[in-house]
Amino acid sequence: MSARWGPDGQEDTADPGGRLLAVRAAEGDEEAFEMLVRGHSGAMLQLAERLMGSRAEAEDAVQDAFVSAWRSLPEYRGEAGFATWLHRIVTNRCLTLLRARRPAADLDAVAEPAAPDHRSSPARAAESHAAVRDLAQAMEALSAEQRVCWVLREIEGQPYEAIGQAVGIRPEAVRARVFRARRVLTEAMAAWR
Amino acid sequence: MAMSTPHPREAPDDDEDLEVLACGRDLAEVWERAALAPADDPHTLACAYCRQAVADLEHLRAAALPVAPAPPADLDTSALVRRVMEVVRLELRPGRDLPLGEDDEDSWIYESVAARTLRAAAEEVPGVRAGSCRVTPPGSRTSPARGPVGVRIDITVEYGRDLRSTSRAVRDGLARAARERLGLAVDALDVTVTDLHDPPDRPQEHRT
Repeated sequence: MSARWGPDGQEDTADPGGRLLAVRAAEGDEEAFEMLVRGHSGAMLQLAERLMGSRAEAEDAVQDAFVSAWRSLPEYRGEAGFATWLHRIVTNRCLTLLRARRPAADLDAVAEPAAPDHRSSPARAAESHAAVRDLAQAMEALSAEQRVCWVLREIEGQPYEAIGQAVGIRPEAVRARVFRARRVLTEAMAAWR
Repeated sequence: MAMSTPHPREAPDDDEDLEVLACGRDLAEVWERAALAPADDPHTLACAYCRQAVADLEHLRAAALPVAPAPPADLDTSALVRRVMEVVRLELRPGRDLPLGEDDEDSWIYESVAARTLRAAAEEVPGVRAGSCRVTPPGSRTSPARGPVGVRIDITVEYGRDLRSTSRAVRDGLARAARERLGLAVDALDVTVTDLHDPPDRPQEHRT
């Protein structure tokens, strides 16, 4: 068995049941597919929310991705673990939705980001909430590819090669986009130094 | 291949432009190194420009992480699962038609329905999980004929089980299920053990 990298790579190899379910779903067993959807929807929703910046858009993206996974399962040969394969489909769906966003999005329309946890003092919490809001606004200035590469690298902690495969570009192009995004975002956040 | 060089510069990208700090270091490199390990070289430790750049990146990360939503297990996904499955059930892939009953009858069953019953029968044998299950009618793919079908099933078996007796039990169970639950005549039955799996979690400390 070859080693597979996956966003939850350990799960892919330590869970042969997941592979069996994927094979069965590929052969038209919708109950097996439902178990896969239940097992992976939390992680996929979290990924999509990080990429899209809003829960509602994330839910749409994940729903579309699962339906498209059901349609493409007969062509899925198991060369990547199921979670990795699904992760790519969700990433691609989010990329498409981000590209379709109107470029001159009204800044007021930027989704209010999730509130950070308020473990620190109210003043610190208010300040960090404002910083989070500024970051969400700054992210709107990124291109779809920059945003996706940055989130996958910086928040999901994925290797450049895996991001390149998911996004469909070379690893060095991923590097360049992550760097651009870091540049834009650190500049936007400089006020919070 | 470009994979062999860690920092290929031969493929300039339209949004890759070199940025050099006032101290002469490449900003992209400084950030990459900071992401891999805490600074340990004398320059980075002493250089105000490098330290500021690394601090900026850390500050960005600190602001980015609270954006992260709740852990996956805390998300309520039941509505999402329901909506996905509503669409999926409108787009079922039932597989081929398989002949049921006698030659002069005109009864058929979908491959996916027969496969579900056969997989369930295989999993009634202790320590068996069923994967792929294909049921092939005689005739061509496009126009299945009547007559006995062929069954190919992949199973994985728990470590420590006797494989011969387990696969024999699966064969017997499949033949019985095909005959008694489905009324499907089977002339070839292939059982392939594709993997071994761990037994379900047991409280190990109670074993003597």
